[in-house]
Order: sequence, then C-alpha cells, then structure tokens
Amino acid sequence: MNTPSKPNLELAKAQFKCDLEAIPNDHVETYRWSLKPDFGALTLYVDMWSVDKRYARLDDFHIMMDMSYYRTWPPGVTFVNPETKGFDPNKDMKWLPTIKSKPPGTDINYHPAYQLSTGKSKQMICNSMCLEYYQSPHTPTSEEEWDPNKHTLFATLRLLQMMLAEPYYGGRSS
Amino acid sequence: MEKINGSDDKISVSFTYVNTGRQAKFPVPKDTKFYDIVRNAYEKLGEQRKEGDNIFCMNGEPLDEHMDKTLQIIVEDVCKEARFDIKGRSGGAIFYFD
Repeated sequence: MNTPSKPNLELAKAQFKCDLEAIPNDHVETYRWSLKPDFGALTLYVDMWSVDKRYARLDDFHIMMDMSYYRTWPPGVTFVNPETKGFDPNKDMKWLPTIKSKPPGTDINYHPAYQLSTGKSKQMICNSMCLEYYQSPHTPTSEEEWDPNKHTLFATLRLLQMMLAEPYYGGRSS
Repeated sequence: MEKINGSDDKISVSFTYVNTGRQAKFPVPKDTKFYDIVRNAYEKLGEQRKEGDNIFCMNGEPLDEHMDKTLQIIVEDVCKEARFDIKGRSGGAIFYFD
C-alpha cells in the first residue's frame, strides 16, 4: 500500500469545499452537527453529540479533521479537547469516546496514541475512512479501501456519528 | 412520517448512500416488501449493491434481518421513521506484518 502524500493543495481545498456543501442537511440537522471549516488551514472542526435511539443528546464530542490529504486520502481525524483544540492522552481522555459494539460491516478502534509512518505519535481512529489508518500498517480489502472517486468526507462523518449512537457508543474514556 | 398527497397508502422514503452522501427520495406503498424498496433505491441512486453493503435506519439500527418485512412494519415497529442509510464496508484493526 502507498504511503499517503499530500495532493495539490488547491485541489484539496476545492474538493473540500464542494463536498462540504454536499453533506445532506437532514443528517446535519438531526444530529446537530456544527461544521466549522477553515479552508486556508485545510481543517474542519466539528461539534458532535453521542445520542440515544431517538436522537436525544448524551455527551458532547469535538473533532478536528485534517483535510490536507483530501480527497486522494480520507480526512485525518482527532477527537479533541474543545478548549485546547488538541488532544493530550495524559489529560484529555474524557474527550475520546469508547466503543460498546460495532455495526455490521464496520471494524473500528480508537487508539489514544499511536506511532504513525510519518514518525509522529498521535491519536488514531483505526478505520479505512480515516487518514491515519493509511499511515500505519493496515491492508484494507478493495471494498473497505477509501476510493477518492467515490468517498467523500460525509462517509467519515457518518461513520463517526454512527459510533456515537446507541447501541454502539460506550461512553467517554476514562 | 410524510404522507403522499394526504394519502395513508404511501410513505415518502429517503435513502442516503453514505459513501457519496447522495440521496434518493420517493413514495412507496406501505405494503411493499423492504427488499424491493432497497432495490429501487439502488437504481435511483445509480449504484450497484455490493456484498459488504448494509442497510440501517437513520438512527443506526441494522435492517439486514428485516428485509422481508413490509415498509409499514419497518417504519412503525423498527425505525419509527422512513429515513435509511446504505453503508459500505469499512475496515479497521487488521494488521499486516512482513
């Protein structure tokens, strides 16, 4: 598998803008996503909630997406402390959710810190819809693999939200 | 749940293809089997069903074991609404070691 490298940044920005506008409104409204793009920095900051089966809010979570490899590669994903907009595994574990169960057709794990092929240690959401998965030794099947001609950032957002919904959501980390 | 022209016979369904974010919305008679509705949704979305695809209520409830039920039962007893997601397989913690 190729190691991710950054595509043309103007192309990344254009695809980021296009795909952000195409996110289905009913999902944004139902799950009360707050989407705050920074097209200059190529980041998307998202406020999300874990929810019960009737969409009642449980716990707040906050995600920083790195769109600088987009759409050749999926968004980078980090659950962050909303005050610092960063994640320190020694202080910020409550801002990382846990998994009670997994939906059919989805394998995923959350690692507070992981040594990536970039040489950097950071949080890793271990799923093929997230950039960091490709910066670590994984071999997705052709069905699982990110397809830049098909997948958009909505696929990543929807995955993260599904894992924050009952019965899959397991509460905050401690 | 949205009725069609005030009719109690049809329900407006919405399918979201999660990989792309595209949506298909169309009216369906309540007594239609869900697998027929899903087949129709794929056609309207211009997609082909893949082996790893799974169908969910919007709230995340899996529907693969309810495919032979009618829309009415799915909406009233399972999802409590007529919005559905079609999600492709995505992978995780399978490590490759040289």
